[in-house]
Amino acid sequence: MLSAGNDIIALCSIDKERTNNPRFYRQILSISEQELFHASVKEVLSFETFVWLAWSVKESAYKYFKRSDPQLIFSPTKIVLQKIILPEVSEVMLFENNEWENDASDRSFYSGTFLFEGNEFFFKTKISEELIATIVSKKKSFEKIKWGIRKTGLIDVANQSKEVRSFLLKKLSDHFPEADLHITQSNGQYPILMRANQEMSIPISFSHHHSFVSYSYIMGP
Amino acid sequence: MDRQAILDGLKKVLAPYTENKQLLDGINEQTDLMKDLKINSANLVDIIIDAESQYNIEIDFDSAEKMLTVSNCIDVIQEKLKV
Repeated sequence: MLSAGNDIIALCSIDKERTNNPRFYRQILSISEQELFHASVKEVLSFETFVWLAWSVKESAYKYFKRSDPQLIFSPTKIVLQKIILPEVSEVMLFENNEWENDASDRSFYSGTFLFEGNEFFFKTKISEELIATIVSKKKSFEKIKWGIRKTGLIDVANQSKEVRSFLLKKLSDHFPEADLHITQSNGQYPILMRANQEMSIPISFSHHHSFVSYSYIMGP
Repeated sequence: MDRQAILDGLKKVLAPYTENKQLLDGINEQTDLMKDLKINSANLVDIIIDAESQYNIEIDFDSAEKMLTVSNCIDVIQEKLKV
C-alpha cells in the first residue's frame, strides 16, 4: 500500500543540554542506534543533531505506518535506525520566496535505513543550520516522492495547520489545474486528499514545528 | 496522591508545551495531549522527563508511550508513585 511520512524539526527549538541528557536520548535511541554516532558521523553532526535526526526519521516512519494501521501508537524505540549515510556533497539549502522543494539532482542529504517489525525501509534527511527534515520510503528510490518546506514565521499551531495545507494544495494545482481538491482527515486521524468527494490515491503527510511547515506526497506506485 | 492532585501537577508539566493556556486550565481526564492541547510530538519526551522531575519517579519506555491522554498520564504517574 502506498503511504507517505515526513517530519520537520526547527533547531532553534531544541534544548541542547536536555538532548544530551541520557534520560532524554535513551527514550529515543537504542544502544545500537547510539553506536551509529561513530567517527565519521561525529565529524559532521553534533550529538544533539544526531538525536533529532533519529527522532525525525522515527516520526516520519510513524506517520507512514499509521496510514495502514490507524491504531498504531508512536513508540520511538520500535523503529530502529540501522545505517546512516553522510551526504555526498555539502550545499546550502536554498529557499526561494521562503519555500524549498526537493530536487532529483540534490546530493546534499543524509540517508539510510531503519527496521520496523522486521522490515527494512529507507529515509532521506535534509539538515541545515535551521532545521532537520525527513521523508521515508519503502523503496530505496525516492524519485516519486515530492517534498516541500515553507518558512512561515512564528504563527500559532492552528494557522500552521492551515498554512501547510494551502502550501500543498498550491503545489498540487500544478498537476491538477482544474480539480476541486481539498484535504480532510480520515477516521484514523491522518490527512487524505480529496477530489470533489472522491479520495485520491495520493498519500500525503504534513509536519510543522516552530516557524516551518512541510509536506510530502507520492505520485504513482 | 489522588488523581486530582496529579492532574493539578500535570498542568505545570504540560504548560511550557501548549499555546492554549485557557484550554490547559480546563483539562480533564479525556483531554488528548496532541489532538486537544496541540502539543507538538517533538515535545513528548520533554513531558516524560518533566513528569519524572515533578513527581520524582522513573518512567520506562512502555509506560511513556501510553502518555498521550491526561487519563493515561495520571495512570502511569500513579503507578510509578506506588513503586
